[in-house]
Amino acid sequence: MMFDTTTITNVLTVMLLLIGAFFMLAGTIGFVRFPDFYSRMHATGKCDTLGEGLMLVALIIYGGVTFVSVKILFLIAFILLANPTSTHAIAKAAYDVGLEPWRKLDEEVVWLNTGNGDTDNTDNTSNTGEGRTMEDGGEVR
Amino acid sequence: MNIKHLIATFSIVLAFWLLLSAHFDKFHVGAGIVCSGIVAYASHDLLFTGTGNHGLTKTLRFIAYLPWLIYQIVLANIDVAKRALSPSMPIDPQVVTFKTILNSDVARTALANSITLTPGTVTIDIVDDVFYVHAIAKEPADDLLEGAMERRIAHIFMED
Repeated sequence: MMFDTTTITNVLTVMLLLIGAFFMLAGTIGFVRFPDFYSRMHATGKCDTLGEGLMLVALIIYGGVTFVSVKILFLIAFILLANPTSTHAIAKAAYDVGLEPWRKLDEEVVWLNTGNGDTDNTDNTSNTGEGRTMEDGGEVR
Repeated sequence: MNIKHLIATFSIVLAFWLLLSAHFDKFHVGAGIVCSGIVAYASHDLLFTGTGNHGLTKTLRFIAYLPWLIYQIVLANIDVAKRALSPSMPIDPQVVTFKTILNSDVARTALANSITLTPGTVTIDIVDDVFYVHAIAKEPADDLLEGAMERRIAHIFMED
């Protein structure tokens, strides 16, 4: 049985596309599941970089050495540069506005308070971590 | 105006134009020369800002750094994918700060972007020489504070 180069190219392309798609999917699932803004930045900022990168490499392998491949190579380089920069810019904007990161500890404390049926506990903040104020814990700044 | 910088910028911009256009007839190359000339004249002091000595060594060291960075990006993705997909979702986000030993803007930018690309950490802010980093769990934060990546960057930009 013979494997000619076209078969190998196709198999490589499909494999890279699938792995890339898997990471994009994992990033999106993380985006939905993670509790707050900053941890969501982890999911989107990282998985997109590798997911897109792998898919573009697949296209390069499929297309062979052409001018289009060179352009795709440039695309990868720019994504590698732009993705962490934009992630950082968005995170910095949120931090400057005063959005407090979600802490695991906070969730446990709030859960215990509500579990005790503590009626005088007016500090009934939601668990989402978004729109938190400084009094809710977190020792930043 | 530095004529050497002008010519270098012009050559890079023109090479980029030729790569992207992939047409080599008179009209396209001529338009490329004219456009590259205008761009090079307007921005010749942006690309080469006199970053100091050893520009070639720094570039080579940075290229040698890239494979390790790509390996770290792959690790980062597997890490995030694991945390996102596992039912218990093992995350414990925290903000850590550390003082950097790096001086130049380029080195700090490289470190900030590397932190964002590597497993479990995102750079939020740099105030003077203090980095604010959001870590998704305790282990990535500890790895970062160990400072292995900072030493690599310092080696590249000759600040160690």
